[in-house]
Amino acid sequence: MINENIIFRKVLPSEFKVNEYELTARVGVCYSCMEERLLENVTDLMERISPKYTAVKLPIEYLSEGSLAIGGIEIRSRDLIKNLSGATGAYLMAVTLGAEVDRYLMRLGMLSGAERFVVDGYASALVESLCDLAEGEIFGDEPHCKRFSPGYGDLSIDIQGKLLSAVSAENLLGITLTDKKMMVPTKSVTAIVGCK
Amino acid sequence: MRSIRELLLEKRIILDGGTGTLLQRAGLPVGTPPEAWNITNPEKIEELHLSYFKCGSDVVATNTFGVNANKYENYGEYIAAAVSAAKSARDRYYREGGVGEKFIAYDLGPSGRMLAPLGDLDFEEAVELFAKNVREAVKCGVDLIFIETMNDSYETKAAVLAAKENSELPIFVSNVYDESAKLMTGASPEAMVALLEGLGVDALGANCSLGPDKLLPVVERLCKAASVPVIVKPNAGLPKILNGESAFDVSATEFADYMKKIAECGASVLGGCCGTTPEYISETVKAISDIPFAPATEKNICAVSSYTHALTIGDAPVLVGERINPTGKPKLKAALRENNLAYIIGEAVSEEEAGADALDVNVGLPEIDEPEMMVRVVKELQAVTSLPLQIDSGDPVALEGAMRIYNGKPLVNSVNGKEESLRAVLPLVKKYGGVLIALTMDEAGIPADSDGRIKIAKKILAEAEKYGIGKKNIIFDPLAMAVSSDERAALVTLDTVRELHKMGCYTSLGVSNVSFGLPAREKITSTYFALALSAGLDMAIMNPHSRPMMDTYHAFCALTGKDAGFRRYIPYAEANSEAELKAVRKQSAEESSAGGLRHAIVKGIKTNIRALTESELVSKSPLDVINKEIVPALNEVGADFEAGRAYLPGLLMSAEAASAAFETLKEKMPKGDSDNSRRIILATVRGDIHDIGKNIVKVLLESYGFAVTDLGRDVPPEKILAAAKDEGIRLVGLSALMTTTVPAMEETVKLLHRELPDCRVMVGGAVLTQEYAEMMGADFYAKDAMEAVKIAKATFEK
Repeated sequence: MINENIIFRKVLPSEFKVNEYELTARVGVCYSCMEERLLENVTDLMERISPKYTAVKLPIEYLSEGSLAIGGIEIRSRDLIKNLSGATGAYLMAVTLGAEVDRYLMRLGMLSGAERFVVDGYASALVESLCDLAEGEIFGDEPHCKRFSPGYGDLSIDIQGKLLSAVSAENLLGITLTDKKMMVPTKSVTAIVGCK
Repeated sequence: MRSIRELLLEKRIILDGGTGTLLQRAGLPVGTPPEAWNITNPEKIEELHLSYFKCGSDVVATNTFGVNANKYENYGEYIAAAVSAAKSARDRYYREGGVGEKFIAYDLGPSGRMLAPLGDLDFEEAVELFAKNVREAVKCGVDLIFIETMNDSYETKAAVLAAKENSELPIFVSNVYDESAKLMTGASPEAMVALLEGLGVDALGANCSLGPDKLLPVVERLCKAASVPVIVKPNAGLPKILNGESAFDVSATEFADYMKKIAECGASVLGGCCGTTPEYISETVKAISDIPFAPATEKNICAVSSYTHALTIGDAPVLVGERINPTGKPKLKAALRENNLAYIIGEAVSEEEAGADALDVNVGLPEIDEPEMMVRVVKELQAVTSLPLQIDSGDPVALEGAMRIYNGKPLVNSVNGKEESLRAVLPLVKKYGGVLIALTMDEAGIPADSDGRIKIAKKILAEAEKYGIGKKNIIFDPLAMAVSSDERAALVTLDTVRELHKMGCYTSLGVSNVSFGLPAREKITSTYFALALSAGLDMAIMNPHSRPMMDTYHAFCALTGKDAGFRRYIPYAEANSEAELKAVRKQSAEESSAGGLRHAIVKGIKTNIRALTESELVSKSPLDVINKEIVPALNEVGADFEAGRAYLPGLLMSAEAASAAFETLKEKMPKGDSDNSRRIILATVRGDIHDIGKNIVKVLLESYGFAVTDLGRDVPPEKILAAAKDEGIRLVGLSALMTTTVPAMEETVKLLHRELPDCRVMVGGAVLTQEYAEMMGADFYAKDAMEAVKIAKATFEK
């Protein structure tokens, strides 16, 4: 079932570029220093991404010490509260590069751990870029808080299921959770972005 | 009341429309799942169904989309309540004077989890999960099962099997296609048609995800490929996109207009999904009332499929790679015995790159558990290659195991004319679907002449017919016998191919057999291949690495109009020209002279490693190659890395090049060099699925000559202990990336130390520190991959 107030956008691969900083942090080398064979893998990767995002704006209610409710979803996290600095509303957002990326990484992994490591890092950096793009489109020039995801600080990944549900992520993006609360497709991110 | 199967032949079936929109308007709070109202507000659910019956729906789907045993312990109650509400609606409809045959479909939606290998839900677990729903639904008394909104072909198969194994009811299946006309996990419409028709569903199609306008291209492809009725149940457009358009942007009349086009394509089971209401359905009924109905026609397509695409047999000849077969292949035999699946995957990928259209998979070795190995290998292969697979075994148990878990519609090799074979194999194809290779031999052996083989073929056709398996799902193999033992052998087979082709049957051959016993086999095989193709051969099981065979194949296609614009021949010819081959040879020679092996390892170039290693071995012993070339190269790269002059990707690629060199050396090393003396177990502990770090360590350790058993991710302590005991391991490496899995690591360390006091444990991973490592009693803390190598060296050099 799709939440009627949802924002949904399918993004073309040509609309965003990898975040160089994130790439270097993960892979230990910048794009221009990557070996040729790795650049070929990156081209293959780019042919397999299916970037999409959904988002919905929800009101925030601050409850007792250290907990809050976003659109009725109760969350215990002092670090998130600090991040939001009193915001009364926030966008919940989910982005993904799609399932074919996972297939490609699996295949690479069988053939070359080295290549898989690099392409995996590249894909993770790409997802961050997609988040940047989504934020830019949602907020435009309006100020907003830094995005905050389950797993940051004391924000447990236990709320992942509820977040995904609120943005119809299963239906529109095909994101599900494993037993251990990891998202599939793996190159997916959920985030809370407070409005200022 | 009649079965809906009869109705499908007579008229269009109108399904219902969206549920969510209506329930939200009736007061369903945001965040409450629709099925909650089955229990608390069943009268509202009844209203919903009644309004659809009244506006023209022949079928309503029960309000059970999100219900399963994982989400609700009392799932049975939800199902019973849902069916009861639907039945009440139907009763009321008739009481209030309604006419027509009205059906209730059990709505079976996705499980909410992704199946392995992409996710963690095991295939059989998925089947059982769906089976629970089906059993309840059957108990409550529904008229058909409607599997819908599935965006993964594998999960779809699990649901269909659950339905088939737990009920006799008709099965409708509908998938979610995106704008590139594929399922989320990659399947094309043709692939889904192959899979679902193979499984024997009664109708198939597309729902949700897109509006009727965007879904039209998918519908056209479905109608072209499907021999069963096609279902189309689109959304009322797309939910709001950023520029402020309102949600679900297609109105009821616009919707109906598009549905008209869809009906004209030939789709005959129509409805609406998210955002649609009874108005959309009644407008649709009006709009299509003038369009004449025609039942679905038989398309006579012979197709197999993988998780991405369908492969049609009967147009251009199909090449099936034969290399994954232990007969006559000592390396493959060894790989099977040692459980070295990586080798098998490598063979598969290399056959794919050489141009195979499908891959034969045969793991028959007397000393292994064939059914178990076959299932494992098929699972691994279908995770990595998108080529359809040919499941090749003489053991029906192995065939069944693999056919069941195969993600698509497989080639099945094989059945023959013997009673025993027909009785064992035909039911498997009936149940799981597949294109069956049928050998023209029986209890009396292989007939010496063409007439004898044709007789057997006809017998197999007749038997298959009894199971509903038609000519379009059978490929006859009239058996290419060695011409060296019988001069007429080649001609007899060709005659049989010609005859079968005239009968409208498909044919296949394992061509290489023909040259057995003669010198320069490829000359004979490739010419025979050309003759067989000329006689009408549809498929060949062959070695795609054989240049003469590929030359023949490409030339044949170019000569017979099967290669439009020579779009395959020309690139093939250019890549394989004499000039190109000379250039490759020259480059090899240059690399050899430019400091050869050591240089290649330092540069991380894996491509020519075998040749370079072999040329070193001309003047050095294997041990010298290791100590004088490989290890110094690695040390050089390692030192550069630690000094910040080289980076991680380069380090890894060098390590892989070194490992490849080791593989080559292993073959030449004196026997008695037991791997296990320097074997290390690596695992990511229970609860953690991050493995990048572990994989890096594995690559580096192997490059330094250690043998590594990688137990994978999310591994429970007992499994690690068992493996360590089994192989007499002295060093175990544990990896974890999340703070939440550190306790599992501690548990593993303690278990190992208690049960195997001589085994040392090293731990690593982004979340670990020296402190954590000490706290949990680990013997070593590896802050990075190089450190792990140092620890291993220190441990084994004692």
